[in-house]
This record gives sequence, structure tokens and C-alpha cells, in this order.
Amino acid sequence: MTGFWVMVFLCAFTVLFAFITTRNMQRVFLSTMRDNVAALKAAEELELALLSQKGFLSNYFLDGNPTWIKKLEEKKTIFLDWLNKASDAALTPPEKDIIEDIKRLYKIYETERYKAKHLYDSGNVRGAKNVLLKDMWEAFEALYQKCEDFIRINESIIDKSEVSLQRKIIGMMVLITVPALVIIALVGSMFFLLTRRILASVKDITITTRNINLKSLSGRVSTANLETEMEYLAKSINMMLERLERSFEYIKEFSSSIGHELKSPLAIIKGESEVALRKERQVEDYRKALSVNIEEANRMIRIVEDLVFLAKLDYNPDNIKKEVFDFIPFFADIQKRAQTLVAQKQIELTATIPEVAVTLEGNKLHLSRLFFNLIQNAVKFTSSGGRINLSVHPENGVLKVSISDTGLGISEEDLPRIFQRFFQKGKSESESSDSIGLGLSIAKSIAKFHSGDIEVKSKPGEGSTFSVILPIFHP
Amino acid sequence: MRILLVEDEKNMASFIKRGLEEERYVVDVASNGEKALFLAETNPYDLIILDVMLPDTTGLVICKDLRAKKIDTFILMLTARDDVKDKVLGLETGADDYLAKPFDFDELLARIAALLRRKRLDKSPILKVADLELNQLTHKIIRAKKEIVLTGKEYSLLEYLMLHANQVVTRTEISEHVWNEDFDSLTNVIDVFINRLRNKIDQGFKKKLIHSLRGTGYILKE
Repeated sequence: MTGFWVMVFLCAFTVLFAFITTRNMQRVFLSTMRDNVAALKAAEELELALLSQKGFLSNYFLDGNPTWIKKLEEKKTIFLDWLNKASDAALTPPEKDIIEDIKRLYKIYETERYKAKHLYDSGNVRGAKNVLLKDMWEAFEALYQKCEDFIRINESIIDKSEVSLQRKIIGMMVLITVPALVIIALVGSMFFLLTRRILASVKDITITTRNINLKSLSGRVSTANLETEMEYLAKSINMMLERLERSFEYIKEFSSSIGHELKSPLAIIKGESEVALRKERQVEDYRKALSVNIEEANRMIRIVEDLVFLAKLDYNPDNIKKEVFDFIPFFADIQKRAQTLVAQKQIELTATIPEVAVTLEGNKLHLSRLFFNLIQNAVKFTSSGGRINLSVHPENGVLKVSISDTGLGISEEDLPRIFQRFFQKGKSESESSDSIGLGLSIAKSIAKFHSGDIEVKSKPGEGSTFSVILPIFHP
Repeated sequence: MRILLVEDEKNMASFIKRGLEEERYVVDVASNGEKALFLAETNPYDLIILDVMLPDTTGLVICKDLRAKKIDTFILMLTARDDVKDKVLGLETGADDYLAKPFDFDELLARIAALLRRKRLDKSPILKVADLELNQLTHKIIRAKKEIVLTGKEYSLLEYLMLHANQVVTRTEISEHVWNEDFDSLTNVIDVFINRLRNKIDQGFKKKLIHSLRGTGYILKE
């Protein structure tokens, strides 16, 4: 809409400009035409002066009164004066020719006039009258004719130039307006097409983005046939959508697994309570039901706590404190505490720890959780009589802590999935409600938080080795 | 009515088993897919309650395997996943019904009862033979307008006989549908329970309903 008004304004401005320009032109033209008008006027005055001269001379011949001669002389000066003016105003060659003719004829006329006056003064009135009426009259006639010609020429010039001026003004207006309008139309249509194209892509982007909601984040803005700037915009919108989709996908998957994991304990609490309330029971039965409920509630608490911990590690790691500490005594303590874990299952725990100083920067509480999760995992999948070995290798600025077991091992199919949240494999009935499938995921997140990682090597039936890689601290 | 419960979470299996047993069902529990397949192939269950998430496999795989082996026992799927997609997949694999966790125990019972009634021509929950009536919903037994109180096992036995009224049922059949895996077939437990039932149902009535067929089994008829 704004574009339309800009176009209207531009058109109006152009017409106004053309009008003003032609008006100025007309003014300039008229000032040049003034010369013609001056010439015209001069010619008329010349005629008048001629007639007067002729009249005065005739009068002089009649009464001999010298005032007529005096007046004649005056008229002569006026005539010459006008002749000069006419000469100045004569610009075209025919005009100049006429002026030349007039000057020539005037000389003849003057000569004849002197002759007449001379004759008259010498007493030859008859001769003077003859000259006056014949020779001078002829000269006068010719002169008068020339003046008439001069007038006519100028009149026709003025007429012509008026017509041509009108034509020229119209021509000029056309010359200014038409190209201007063409340019405006071109620019306008280009502007229109461009805006239409931009608006079309904006519309496309709007439709796409409007259709995007939590259920369909997969929509993308088309980047085909777009202007460079619009392409940038479309691409950055698409990149933003990509990131949003990935985060939502993550949240969706995560919340669905949370939902799933919480549903089991909830189903048990609900079912256990419903069954307990179906009829009157012994106190012991209620006690059992309640302790099952507490067990399941604790499981839910653990799930929630672990998830909150993971969220903190992933999204708010700045709040976790780090300290510089000596790793060897720290790990020796872990080894000591791990003994109690393996003792229940008659698994042999060995350790190869070098006697060197290794300094780490990290959170001891979280790191011990990392190692305990891995050791617990090893214990879980190693049957009685098996062996678990802990080893520490500092080299090239990196500390490698390996936990190897002679347990079940992990199938190739499962290997990429073991660090996924809520991934569970081979849980036995006795520990089914104990394990929630977050242990390895938490261990990995802790390692990543310490700029490290966990690697796994495993052969089904032979055992697994989990290696924690952590950067050694250099002050 | 004998039910196989396939559920790996021991607390879950525990309350379902107890709850069902209180409703006079006979329940065996399988805690993984392997055990489930073995039990389902060995015993003629009336119904299988199948959890989808199992430690060694999924309920869907078990369901497919059972159907492939021509075992057409009713299967009620039980799972924490309640997407329509999952339900459809479960039913398409061969399950007869689907229930999402957490569920109302009453709903579970109602669905089990509904599934078990499907086999019968008479869909009424009240079984009738002569003047003897058994209400499967309330578990009330009435003969000649007088209520008879039975224990759980006695009820299960009578229900089985009434469901197969006018048919001869063998001791093996009884043991398979009224007792669970713990049943010791060498004992005369069935005879003992039949005697107890006779005392409660037929004693004092001129017309006897429970009859022994020497060497074959029992029949309940008018």
C-alpha cells in the first residue's frame, strides 16, 4: 500500500516538474521574442516617422515656414534612432536584408529630399515639387514598402514562434513526462515485483513457521528461489528449527522414558494398596503392603534425584565445585570400599595402581560416584567366582582408569546403547526394582563434565573393560 | 481358572498374583520370556497376562511365538507404554486385550473375567446347574436358595466342574486348571477337595450333583 502512494507522489512530482520547466522555457522564449516585437514596433515607428517627414516637407513647400524643417529634422533623428533599434532587433537574414534595403533606400530618399529642399531654397519651387512628388515619392514608397515588409516578416515570425513555442512546450512536456513516467513505471514495477517476491517468501516463511508446533517441528522453510538476504533469513530460521527440533526430540524421549520409569513404581504402589484394601486383613499383611510401597517410593525418589543430578550436570555445570587433589590416595579409598561390594558375591577384586603422584582437578564426590557406578555395574554382570581388576595408567597428560571384569560382556548390538538413559539389560529378578538404568549414563556425564570420557571394550561371554579417561591437572 | 502372569518386576508380580488368588484364580508367575514360553507350552492356561518389557525379550515377541505355536490362550498385555501405536501393535501381534500401567485392579479383574467368558455360549456371570448357582462376580454359591460358603480352592474346583457341567473331567484336567505349578500330582489332594465339596453341596439334598466315575474322573450333572 505504501508503495502505491510513493508511486502516486512520484508521478505528481514529475508532472509538476515538467510544468515548471516548460513555464520557465516559455518565459525565456518570450524574452527572445521581445526582440521581434521591438523590431515590429521600430518598423511601425519608422513608417510613422517617414510619413511625418513627408508631411512636414510638403507643408514646408506650401508655406515655407522653417519650423517644418526643424520638425522634420527632429523626425529624422527619431527615424534614425528607430532604424538603429530595428537594426539591433533584426536577427534573421531576411530582416537584415530589409534593414540594409531600408538604409539604402533612406539614403536615396534623403538625397532626393535634399535635392528637393535645395531646389526649393534656390527658388525652383516647381523643380522641388517635381522631385518631391516623383523621385522622393518613389523612394518613400519603396521605403514604406520595405517597412511594411519588415513589419510583415516580424509579424509572421512572431506568429510562427508562438505556434512553435506551443508545439515546443507540448514537445518538451512530452519529452520530460514520458521518459519520467516510463522510468517511474519501470522502477515501480521492479519495486512491485521485488516486493511481491519478497512478500511471497515472507508469506511462505510465515505459513511454515505458523504450522510449526510441538507436534510438527519437522517443517522447514523452502530456500529455493530466494533473494540473498531472504535466503539468509530462511536458512537461519531453518537452523533455529533444527536446534529446536533436536532439543524437543531429546526432551520428548527423555520425558517419555521418565514417564515409563515412574509408571512401574506407581503401578505397584497403586496395585499393592488396592489389593490390600479389597478386604479386611491381618496387620502383618498391611505392614507388608506398606513396606512394598515405601520400597517403590524410594525407587521413584532415586529416579527423580538421578534425573535432577543429570540435568544439573548437563545444563548447570557451573555450580559444581572443583578442587585440585591427589588421585592415588583417592582411588585407593575407592578400591577399599569396593571390596565390600564384591564380598557379597565372592568376586575377586585386584588392582594395579602405580606409585606416582597424579593430580586431578575435579569434584571428588562425583568422581567417586562415577567409579562406583562402573564397579557396581561390573559386579552386577560378573557371576560368583569371577574377577574384577582396577588399573590406573597416567600417560601423555591423560589418566586412564580401567575397570575390567570377567562377566557376561556386552553384545555388539547393545554396545552403542549402554550409555543411553534408562537402558537396562539382563536385570535379574532380585535387583529388578533396584536398578533404574541411569548408572552408566550418569558415569558418562560425570566424565564429560571433567573434560574426559568413558570407553568400552567388550566380548560377550568373556567380559568388559570400561576405561575412564581424565585429563591430568598441570598447575 | 488358571492364569500365567509374565512379569519381571517382583513387586508388581507379587500384588497381581495375590490379588488374583484372592479372586479364586490359580496363578503361575514367569519372570522372563524363556520361563513364560516354557510354562505356556507345558500347561493349558485359561489366560496369560503378559508384560511387554521383559529382561530377555519383549511381550510382543512372546505373543508372536505363542501364536506361531498354535497356543490360542487368551493374552492380556500389560505395559507402561500407552500410546495407541503400542496398543495397536500389541493387538495386531495376537493379544486379545491391552491394559496400561498403572491400572485399576478392578479393571484388570473385569477384563480377565470378560476374556474368560468369551469362550462360553452363555455370557452370564451366573453359572447354573439344577438348583445350584455360582456367581462369578460375587463368588456366592447358592443351592435351594441357601448360601453355601466355600474356601478359595473349593470354589475354583466347583467353578471348573460347573463350567464343564454334564462333561466328564479328568483328574489331570482338574489339576491343570485348578492347581498351579506347585501341585504335587502324586497326592490325592483332588479327591480330598471333591469330598469336601460333596459335603457342602450335596449333603442333605436328595438329588446328588457331583458324581465319581471310577478310573476316569468326575462329572457334575443334574
